[in-house]
Amino acid sequence: MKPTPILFLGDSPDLQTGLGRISRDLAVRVSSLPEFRVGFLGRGGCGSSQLPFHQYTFDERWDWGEQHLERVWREFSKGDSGILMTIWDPVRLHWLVDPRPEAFDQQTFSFLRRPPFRRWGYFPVDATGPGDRLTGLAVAAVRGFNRRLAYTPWGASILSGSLGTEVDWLPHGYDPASFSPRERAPGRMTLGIHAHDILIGCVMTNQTRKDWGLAFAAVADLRSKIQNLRFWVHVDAMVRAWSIYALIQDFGLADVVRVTMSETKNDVELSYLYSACDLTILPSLGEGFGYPIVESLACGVPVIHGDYGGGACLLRNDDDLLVRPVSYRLDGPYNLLRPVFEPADWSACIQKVLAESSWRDPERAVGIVEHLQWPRLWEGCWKKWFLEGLK
Amino acid sequence: MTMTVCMACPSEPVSGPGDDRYFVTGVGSVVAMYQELLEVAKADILAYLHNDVEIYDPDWPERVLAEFSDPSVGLIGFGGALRHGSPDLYRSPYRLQNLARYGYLSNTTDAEQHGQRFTGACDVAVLDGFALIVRRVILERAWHQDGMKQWAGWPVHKLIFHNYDYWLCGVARRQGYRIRMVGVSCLHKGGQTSTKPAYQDWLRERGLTDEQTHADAHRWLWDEMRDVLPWEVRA
Repeated sequence: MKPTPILFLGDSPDLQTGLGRISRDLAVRVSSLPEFRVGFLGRGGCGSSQLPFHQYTFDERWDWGEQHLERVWREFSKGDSGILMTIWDPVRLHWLVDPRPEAFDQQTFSFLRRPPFRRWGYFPVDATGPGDRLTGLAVAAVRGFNRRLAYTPWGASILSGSLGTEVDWLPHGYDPASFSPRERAPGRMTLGIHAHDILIGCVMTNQTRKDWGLAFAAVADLRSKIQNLRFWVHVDAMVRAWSIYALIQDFGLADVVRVTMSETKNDVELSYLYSACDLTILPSLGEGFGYPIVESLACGVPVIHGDYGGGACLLRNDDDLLVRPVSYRLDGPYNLLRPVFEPADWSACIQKVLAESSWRDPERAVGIVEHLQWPRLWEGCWKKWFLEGLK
Repeated sequence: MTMTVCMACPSEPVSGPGDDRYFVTGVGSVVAMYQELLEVAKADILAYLHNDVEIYDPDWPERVLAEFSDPSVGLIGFGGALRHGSPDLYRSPYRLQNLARYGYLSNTTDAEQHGQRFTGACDVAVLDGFALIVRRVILERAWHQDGMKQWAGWPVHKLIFHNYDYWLCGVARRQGYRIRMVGVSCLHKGGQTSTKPAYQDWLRERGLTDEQTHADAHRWLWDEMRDVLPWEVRA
């Protein structure tokens, strides 16, 4: 049987972003199925010869690929009909399902109106909106897809409620060869932390949705309660949505904080740093999935997260790891509901988990996420999902 | 097509064998006894029946063999369920309960206590182990390795008493066979082995408990059968 062309559209698979990683992990595995021929149209990045599929990239200034898709599809598909699989927020994809004639030349407009592919979408949902529905633009975009999949049961419930039709979900996986419990000493040595210090970690990008202010406020609150407290910050930029410098200075935490930069650590090195921690925190205001949650648990270290969004789903059975919001507010042009947290609640939750001796056994944390190890998740879920789509 | 009845009697001996029947008696692993039966019985179709099953339909062999005349049918039983495993089975953390079966059909005397009474024949996802009638070739194609030892048949290195029925159904599905439930009128007394003191003693001598072997068997099945679980057939 001739393989079906499937073109992924998302962050370039050679990028170290969460979406880049998800796209890469899926595209690599789909490449192992003889039923598919895989290509990738990636935003940003420059491609990689290490990946087993053909890659096309475009610069980030070209938005979301709308000016490239037609040319790339014709080159990749060789005239066959096939599948376009997107791994992006739906608000980025409205042009794909409802193109405006003034935005395209006649040929591209006709191509997008009657595409020679089916649209499959894997949609991150990191926030809901008024009435527990996504904003209209997002709903219209998702509605135009032939197959829809959410990251988490929470995301699926928001999409289902917004569309009025059932949406399924599948989680991402992680590579256990990279993320697994390691000895504590090497990571502590890297950070210059003593064996008896209490080390809290936070792995987050520097963007508005990641509440670094909350993280520092909570750690500052803990400082008077835990003598030998240390705070490991792993971030991609010191100054962007937040100034990490200013937070360190204004909260007076210069002697407590240790910073590492994302581009300097590969996954295995990162796993040593996770493993060096007593616990980690992810004080973001909504996660589609929450890779730092999975990575920390996979390294045997408990993680505290807000009780909101897709990330909370992973911790639903371990309630003491979730901090309840005290309120909610609407944010940004797409009316996204964001939680509001009290730093003292995070501080209290951290102290409670530190006092719980059962978390010192790495197996407890690993047990929460071991089903997400790629070899298991691919065979048990994703492989079936892709093959069912061909029936 | 020939059929042999194979019965393991782990807690007490029974009379026999007859011309078309094989028995293994003694106390120990049911799965190991089933393997022994596989190695001695020569028929194309092997009918593994519990020793506490009384069959009231005298024509049950004809009903079963008629089903096997369809080459796509690989495994038949007297009680089965339309769905095996929750949709969350592999996308959520492991829970033994997610391996449950749903929509159970049988024609046992107490059918209503376990699900619905069904006297006809239909496709199912999974069978109950009290009656497993299988094409020999399915077992002969199921290979295992334990250290240097390799063999075809039952997973005697992983299962003792629980879940051999779920395992056999998974193997049949993996090999592309359909599984059929035939509503043969029968009585399955149940609880005749695992609760008996002799079996409990046998486990205790090996540092095992029935609870632990039950838990281990489910966990192993969860790991082993991810390509064919969860599974559902339409009624």
